[in-house]
Amino acid sequence: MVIMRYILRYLVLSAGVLISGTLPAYSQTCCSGGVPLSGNIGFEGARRGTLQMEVSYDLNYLATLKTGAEIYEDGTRQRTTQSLLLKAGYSINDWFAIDALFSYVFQERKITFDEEINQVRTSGLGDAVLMAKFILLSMAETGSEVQLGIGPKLPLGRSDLTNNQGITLNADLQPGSGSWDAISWGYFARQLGRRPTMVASLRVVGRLNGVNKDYLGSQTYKFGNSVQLYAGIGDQLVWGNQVFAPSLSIRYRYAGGDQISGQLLENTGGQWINILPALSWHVGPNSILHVIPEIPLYSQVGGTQLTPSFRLQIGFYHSFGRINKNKSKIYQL
Amino acid sequence: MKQNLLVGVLCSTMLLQGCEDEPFSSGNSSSSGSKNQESWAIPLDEVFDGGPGKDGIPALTEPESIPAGDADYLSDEDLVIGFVVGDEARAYPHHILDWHEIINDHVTGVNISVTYCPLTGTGIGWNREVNGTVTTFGVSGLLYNSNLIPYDRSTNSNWSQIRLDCVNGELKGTEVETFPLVETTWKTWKEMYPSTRVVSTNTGYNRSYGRYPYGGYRTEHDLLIFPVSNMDDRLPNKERVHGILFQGSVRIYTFKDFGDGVTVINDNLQGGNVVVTGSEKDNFIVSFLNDPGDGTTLSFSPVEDRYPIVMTDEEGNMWDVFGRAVTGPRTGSQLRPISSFMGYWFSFATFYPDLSIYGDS
Repeated sequence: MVIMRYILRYLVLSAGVLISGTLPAYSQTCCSGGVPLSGNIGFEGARRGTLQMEVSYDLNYLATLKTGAEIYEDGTRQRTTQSLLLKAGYSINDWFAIDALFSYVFQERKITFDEEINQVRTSGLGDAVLMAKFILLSMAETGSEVQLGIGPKLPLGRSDLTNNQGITLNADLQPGSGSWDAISWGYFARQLGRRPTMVASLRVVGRLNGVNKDYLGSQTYKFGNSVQLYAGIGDQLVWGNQVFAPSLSIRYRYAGGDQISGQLLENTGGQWINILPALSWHVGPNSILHVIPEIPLYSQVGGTQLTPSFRLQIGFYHSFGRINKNKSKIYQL
Repeated sequence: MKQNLLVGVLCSTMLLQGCEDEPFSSGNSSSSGSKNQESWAIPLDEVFDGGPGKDGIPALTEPESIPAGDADYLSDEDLVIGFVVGDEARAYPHHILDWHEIINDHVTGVNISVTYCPLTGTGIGWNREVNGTVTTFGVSGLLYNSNLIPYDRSTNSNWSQIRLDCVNGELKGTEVETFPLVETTWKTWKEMYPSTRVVSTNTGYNRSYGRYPYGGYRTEHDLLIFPVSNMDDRLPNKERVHGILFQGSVRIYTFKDFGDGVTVINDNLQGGNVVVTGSEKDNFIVSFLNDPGDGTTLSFSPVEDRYPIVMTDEEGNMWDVFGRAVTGPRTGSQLRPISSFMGYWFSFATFYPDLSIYGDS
């Protein structure tokens, strides 16, 4: 009941933030090819003085052309975003922690026409996220975990990169969005039944995007706001003397349309539902290696868009300090 | 030990991402626009990447055409761009052009590229025989003042659709030779040319041709997706107008200048006599130099209900919507073409800030 109360409060708070700040409320299509920041922020709870770090590689491959929910057979366009992510979290005490996420981004647009290939590639430091987290319930003490967090997305990445002729590229090929954004985050997990290693979790991430006031020199650009919901279940299994933790999550993401100079852009925004069958390997007492493929189940895009076909994340986690031995990580994108 | 090995493998995987064959074109380097400016005839900082990339919007080449009666995907009010060579009439619907922007075609011996920019609403017929070489044009993915930059596949040079010249590459400075086109509704076009053929939706690409891909863009006057160098609030940005480019001067004609029937305007621009004819109800405006080829200036008056004939003159000639004399003593002659086309008001105002509006004091 306590958990449910927290969950309801958080959902009401998040909805309030999104609705009040967004009129008109739209969200970030570029994210479908963009840098996976908001989906990666936030560690699970740890004891006071624990430093958690994770480095990961994220591949987002987009080659599915859709109008609404309809797929167009078209093999001419491909977009890939590869991100190197460095995440760090420090637990100041048992109920408060600071998390940070930094990114370095490689993007590619590839068009194949009459057997000719045209490619544009960009790379650079991406944006970063800082987040203050409040641990309201601890898994070790209650069998349930509740965390709420809020923080800014810092526009560290450039949003004015040019191609090799010096022509400014558009927003979805830039490593940064050029705007300060607000991210709210909630994580709820509970051990299931008599298996302390089996955990069900729910994660909600809301992103309220600011405005890039210097887009293409004289315009403004605002990526639409978004909300993501992850629901998953995971367990730990022992094979030989190795500990593995398989998990299965469903991700729902809603993104509204982008705006240029306050005007809604067609062919942006949408809804996506993906499935994430993940596997982590406890390679040491404080270290975990994880692999998370992400497979699209359903999407309904605004207008016509190239939308993700496949996604993969490989990461390495290490904790400097004691971690909960019974913890089963359900990794998130 | 096991941990160190894993960290090493992971880091190596990441480093490999930065070591691919082709260098990243922009990377962390600052803009190289200044050093490339000299290769462009237009300000490079006003050229933008449109998003889909080069050929990301695929131009069509000699697409399948069908008889008008088979074009179930068109309704009477849909806009088409019409072209006629001899007795062969061809319609290029906006429904197709919105998704492909360029159609390279071959009509009765004439090599034409119908270029259409959905963001500026400009449809212009280009001769795709350039310096004696027949080429095809593709969509470069670049925009100048929100307007299409086609590229030719023979030399990879970039051209400006509204400027009507090559702005970058081997052919820089070469001017475009245009063909007269008529933009009107499918209903009017069929009435003018009942035996017309029209581009089929069987283009080889899977697109929803009945759906306009830019949402409310053509009616939301404040929505411009890319920056433009000049704005002029005398008319709403997206109002469809007819512009004549002559001797460095530009004059705009609006549908309000024309009645429900055919209206003829005899006008003078930079010392040149022009004749402009059209109908607001039937949704077309066309223009020509008032010169049938021998220097004579004729006095035109409208002809009703005889499409494609729209004008007559004091000699008793009947002239069609492409400026061709179809009956009378000058049968077979043609009014000298003039650079003119339909487009959104803002696009003319951007490219030609000193333009005038017909009837404006």
